[in-house]
Amino acid sequence: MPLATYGGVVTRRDWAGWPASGDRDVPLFKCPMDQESDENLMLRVAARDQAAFGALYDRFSGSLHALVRRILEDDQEAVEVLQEGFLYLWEHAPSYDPTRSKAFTWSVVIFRHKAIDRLRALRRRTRVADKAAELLPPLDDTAERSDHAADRQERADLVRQALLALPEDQRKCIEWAFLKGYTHHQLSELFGAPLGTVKTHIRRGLVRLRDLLKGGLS
Amino acid sequence: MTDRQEEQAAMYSLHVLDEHEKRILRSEMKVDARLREAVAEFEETAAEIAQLLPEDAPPPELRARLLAEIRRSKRSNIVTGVIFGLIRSPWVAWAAAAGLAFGAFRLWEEKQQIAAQIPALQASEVRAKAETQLAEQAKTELQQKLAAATSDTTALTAEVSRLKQANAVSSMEIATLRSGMKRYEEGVAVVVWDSNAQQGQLKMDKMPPVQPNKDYQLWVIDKGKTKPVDAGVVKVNDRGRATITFKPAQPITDASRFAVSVEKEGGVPEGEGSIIMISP
Repeated sequence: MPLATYGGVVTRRDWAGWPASGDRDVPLFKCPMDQESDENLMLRVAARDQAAFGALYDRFSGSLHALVRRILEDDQEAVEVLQEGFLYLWEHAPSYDPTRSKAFTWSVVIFRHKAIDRLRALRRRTRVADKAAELLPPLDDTAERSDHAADRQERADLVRQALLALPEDQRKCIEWAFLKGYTHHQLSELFGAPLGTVKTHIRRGLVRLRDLLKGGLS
Repeated sequence: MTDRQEEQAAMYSLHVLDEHEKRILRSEMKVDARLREAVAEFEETAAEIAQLLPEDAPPPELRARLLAEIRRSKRSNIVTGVIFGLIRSPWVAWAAAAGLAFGAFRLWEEKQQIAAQIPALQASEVRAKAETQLAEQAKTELQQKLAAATSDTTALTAEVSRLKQANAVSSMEIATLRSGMKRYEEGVAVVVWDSNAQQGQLKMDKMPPVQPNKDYQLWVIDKGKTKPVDAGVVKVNDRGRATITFKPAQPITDASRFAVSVEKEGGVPEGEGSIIMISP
């Protein structure tokens, strides 16, 4: 069964027969590295391929750095989380399952959790003032992308359209939770909405977003 | 999957649940494959939002730092791998197997030796038990004998005490001295004599005072002696009373009588004055 990749050539039979641990650094896939899918690279990272790790870093670091910097709003903290996240990724790549998630979104989950954990720790230390009046910077829908990320452009367009298709309350709850690491209690306070309403917004919004991304916007 | 679970799964995927809610959901995920799948789908969906962010290249030195770090960790893993490889190598396995076999043989040998010693040890145990039983019997007998001897001793002691008391009483003599003279007829003198102790006690009452330069003197008349034996001077008080303990100047074998005389002051070795009182 072919894997859902961005043009990669890995098949289930291929990665099932992959060596358990890295006893060699040579790539097992014959395609040039810049043509390999993200998932293929991640599987090679799991096999302790440093070159694949370097290539994956080149592909993901720009987006992931943007993400953690957006969450933390602190350059130094963002770099520290980025370094910590990539080392975690190197150590835990063997647990990556390409049948369950894309390599990029799997990485986003890891880095976002690390950034939010760091952010919450910083909030506890510095007692950041109430952010209710703060406006969340809009997501950039006209971002220029590198060559490596160009193949995700189409996907990004789809995501942007799906988000814009959500009711504003749902979209705001999801964006603030995703980019600011606010808990449902904090979101309730921030938007002055009952906790149950916030939960419903998150649930309905994510269900709708999932369905839109799965089945298209039609 | 319930609506509540789907709601929790959505919030979990956005990392907005508190720790308590996370623990509950994780425990439910362990037994609910559909819930796990829902969480994975929501996480995947939420992560897609990151696609919208413009790329922001990190500092260039971070890449080199990361690669150096993973090279270092890889070398460490290689050393660990070599060690585990050595452990897994056939030679180590053969050596371990040989060691185990040798150890097993030694254990078998020791077991055989111990098995051979068991009958002798059992016989020794039987003998020891018999000896212990005999010793216990002897001990019991000795304890019984000791108890009997203690009882005899107690009885004998009691008997001796009783005999001593009887003997003591038998050796005691009481004698009352009287006077036939007008001057001393109101006077009373009593002697208690213990022939075993060779001493006695004299008690006098209502005796008239003696003349100046004179004293009363007590005498013991012994059948085995030709003359009375001096038993000491007796001085009475103003009321004519005196109590003295006396010890005769010579050993007394058979005190037949006791007498009081008036003698020169300080007494005399042999009687010179008149006997004023005498026992019957």
